[in-house]
Amino acid sequence: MGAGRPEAVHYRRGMAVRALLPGGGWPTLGLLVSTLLSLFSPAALAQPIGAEFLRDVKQRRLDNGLAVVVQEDHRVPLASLSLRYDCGEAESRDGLAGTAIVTMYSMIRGATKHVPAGDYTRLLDLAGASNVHDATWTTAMGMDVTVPANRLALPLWLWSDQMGFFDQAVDDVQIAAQKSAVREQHRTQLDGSPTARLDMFASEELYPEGHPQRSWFLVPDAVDHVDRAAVIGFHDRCIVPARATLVIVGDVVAADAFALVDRYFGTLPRGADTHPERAGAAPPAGEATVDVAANVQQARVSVRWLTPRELTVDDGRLDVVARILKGDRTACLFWKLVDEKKIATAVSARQRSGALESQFEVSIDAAPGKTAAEVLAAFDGAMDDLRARVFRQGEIEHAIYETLVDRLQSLESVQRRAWQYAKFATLVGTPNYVKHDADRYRDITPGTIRATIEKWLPRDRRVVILVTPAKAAAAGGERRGRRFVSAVTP
Amino acid sequence: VKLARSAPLLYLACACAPAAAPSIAGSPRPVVLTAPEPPAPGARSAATIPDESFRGRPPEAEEAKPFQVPSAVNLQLKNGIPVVVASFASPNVAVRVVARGGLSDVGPEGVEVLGMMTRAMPRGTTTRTMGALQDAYASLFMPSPLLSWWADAVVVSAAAPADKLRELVDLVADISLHPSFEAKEFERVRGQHATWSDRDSRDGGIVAPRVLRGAIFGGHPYGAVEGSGQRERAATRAQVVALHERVFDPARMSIVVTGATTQDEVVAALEDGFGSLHSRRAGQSVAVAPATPESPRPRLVVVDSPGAAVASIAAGVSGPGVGATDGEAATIALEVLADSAQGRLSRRLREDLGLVSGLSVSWYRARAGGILGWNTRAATARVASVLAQIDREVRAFASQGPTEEQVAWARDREVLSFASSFETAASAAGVFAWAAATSRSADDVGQTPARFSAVTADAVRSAAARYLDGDRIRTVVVGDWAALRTSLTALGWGRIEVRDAGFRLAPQGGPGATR
Repeated sequence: MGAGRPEAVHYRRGMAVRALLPGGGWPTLGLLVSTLLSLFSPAALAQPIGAEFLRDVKQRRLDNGLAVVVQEDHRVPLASLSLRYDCGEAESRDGLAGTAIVTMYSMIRGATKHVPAGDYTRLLDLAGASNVHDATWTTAMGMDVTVPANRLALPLWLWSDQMGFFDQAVDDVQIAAQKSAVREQHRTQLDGSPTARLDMFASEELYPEGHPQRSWFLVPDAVDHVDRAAVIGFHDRCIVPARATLVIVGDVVAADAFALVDRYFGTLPRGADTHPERAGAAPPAGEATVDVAANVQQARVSVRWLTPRELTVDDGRLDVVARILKGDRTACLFWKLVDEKKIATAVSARQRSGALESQFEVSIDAAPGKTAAEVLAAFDGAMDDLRARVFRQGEIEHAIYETLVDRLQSLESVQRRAWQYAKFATLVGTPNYVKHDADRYRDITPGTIRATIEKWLPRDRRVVILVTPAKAAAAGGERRGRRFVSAVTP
Repeated sequence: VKLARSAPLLYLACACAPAAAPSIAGSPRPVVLTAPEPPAPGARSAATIPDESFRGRPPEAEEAKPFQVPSAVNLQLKNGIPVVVASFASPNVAVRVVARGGLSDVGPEGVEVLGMMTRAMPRGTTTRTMGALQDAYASLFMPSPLLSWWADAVVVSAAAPADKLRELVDLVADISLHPSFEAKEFERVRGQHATWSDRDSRDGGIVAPRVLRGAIFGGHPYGAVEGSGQRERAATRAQVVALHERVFDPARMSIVVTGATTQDEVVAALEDGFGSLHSRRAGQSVAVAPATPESPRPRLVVVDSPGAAVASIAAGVSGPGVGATDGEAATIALEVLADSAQGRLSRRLREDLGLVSGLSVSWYRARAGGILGWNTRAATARVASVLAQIDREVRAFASQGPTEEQVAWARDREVLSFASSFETAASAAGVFAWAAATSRSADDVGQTPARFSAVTADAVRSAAARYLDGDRIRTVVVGDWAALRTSLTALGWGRIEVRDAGFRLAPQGGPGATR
């Protein structure tokens, strides 16, 4: 007990951020909303909204490195918790893809020293928990839960047992059971939709062999070689206090919550605070076109570009570009392909932000009778028109609004706040990065948008997937061919 | 450039300084991924960690904190429209306009007209184009309003920062009362949506729960199966205009306002927005759905999806409506049976047998009835086994009932789930709107936690025996009929109906019904 140091913010990365914040403080949601309103309604700046009910975000780092974040919100007698590890599938060792997810399944569904197999969900359910989630990504793993405020200790007990008392309970039988569950889940995902494998085909083109982003797309049998030693090794590297952030938001007293966290996690050993070296993938050296047959009614086209990672400035600008291509107020691509040329029936555009890299994706459903090649030609024509188009500042500001409004409105929920704080803490070293996130969308001009399109969405460095209807195609889509043309631009 | 431990700092510098673009991820670099060597075996063994006595068993619950539903006040506008106001701390204020009727006005065959009405209403009003509406949302920094139809009502939902109540009400009133249904835009929306419906008709996850409504309720309004592109194309503007005039009448409307506001502010804003509206059809009665009948459909309905390797399954039974004395007990019975984590079906099918990767509970209660159901997916070869196991488990559960412990956790969780609805102004407005749609009072909403807390194990056993009767359960499978036919027929569940995604029977000579 007592290992935590009040207000001793020792985030290695967080300190850098804090220095950039005016006054070094943490903005409340109310101030944040008022800041964003200023983008659209300068008069609103004078009236911060809701600032009084959202109190400060408090944080500590235990001596063993565990980052702890607490925010009090007493409106309903619930507490939302989010535990996130700065470690994911990318750290599965060579040839052992899937170790991270098998480890996660073992922690959740298997036994730890003091928690019998199956008791994780059973005990949370008995306590009235909701929103019980777990996730394994390329560079992070996370668990979330909302409990009655009087049961705050339960998830702390469960999670600390996973972190400190895992290896004595895990055995080969348990690993085999979790591998079987992972196989079943991935088989259902890949076979469950006619085009479920498109992401996998695109990633094979965008990322070189061995790149961590490719490991995300597990085929069911990928986990065959994962064994107990691999799981224990992964757990020792990753499921440690030094690589974890624990966030609690809800009807708690911060000092009591910190004390509880200290009780359950304070004596756990720090663990190795080492990260693998990571680097981004090089942009495609040209245009790769993949022909895919799928059991769909109409042809489809998916175009992908490799783009900057999450929370970078250009990542934000590409969010806005996506809204200009297919937003609610402005939808240049939709207007051109669906309304004007009637060559397509649906268009989507989005920046799929990722921790290592992102993908910008445009997906187009062909109109009946149109081929994928015809749709691609029309899309390229539309993009040429867009490159020459002068966007109005009003269109851009509306695209910014569409990008941010749901993201910020959702923070009224304690569950969403806990999740968001944990994500920010893992990605940038500080939980309350909301204002900085929003600041990326300031000062975007027509010139910025044009430059962003030119730089990140070139026609000759991308992956194009042409989907042709074929009733007999394998579930999830079947790769039938590939062409590559080297880029002509530098 | 290798990004090792210093990478996050570079990352931050980029993210925090908009002028500093381009970002670090923009320059070409080789991929380097070198996982560190693992620590020596046993270096972090649990044996080396102090095993304090408190770790031996789960922590005890502290004294429960009471949850009070925010008190709601019932008001009435001068033209008679009832208003519910629930004030509580929030950065936002939410408004829901509830117009009772809809499905009961058009019947199951008219569901596409109802759907078109909700899609066309926000596309422009008599004084604002759609662009002007969107600009107004942006100026308030509020999300676009949502329009939806429920079993008993049509609902307009919107939320905005708390100090924008007047502007919010003005917009919501305009959309609710003065949609232009501009002809060209109407046709555009109708055509696009019909195309999307055609596309979605191949998505089992969407189709199965829709078709289940038809399988359970048949020709009753609640049996409407939306999603037929053909029927959507046939919906006319005149039908939509007439339906709007009929449904959005003050005699049918209620308004809910929640969040950081006061009664005085609400009344002033609502009188401005809705106070001048007077009934265009004086004396008209609200269309109320009749009591739901026993399903005339066979136990198993298949929607053919040729070539699908994985089938989507939705199953359920006609359940109690709002106001039924055993409504809460039936809900708890269903949770014990089909909860995604602890439910009897989930544990058997996922944990014990590994037949499915997940199963989720699905229920709703409307004025004249509801559905108690569940959804899952299974590989084609396993579908018959999954259905047989579910049938076995449901029958066993209906005869044995739940344990006291199971009832306790399901009951507590329902109360807490209800409490979490009051986390945000928008979700709280949804709770009161549902009450308004089913002609219940705000006071009745306040009694919800007490009603769940009072449910006994005996009441749950009775509800399980009454509703979760294996012979009454209807199951919809969206999958490859050619591959499923033999194994499903071997279940011996009687006649199997093959229908399309719009709930039309398969044509003669097609895949056909079988026995």
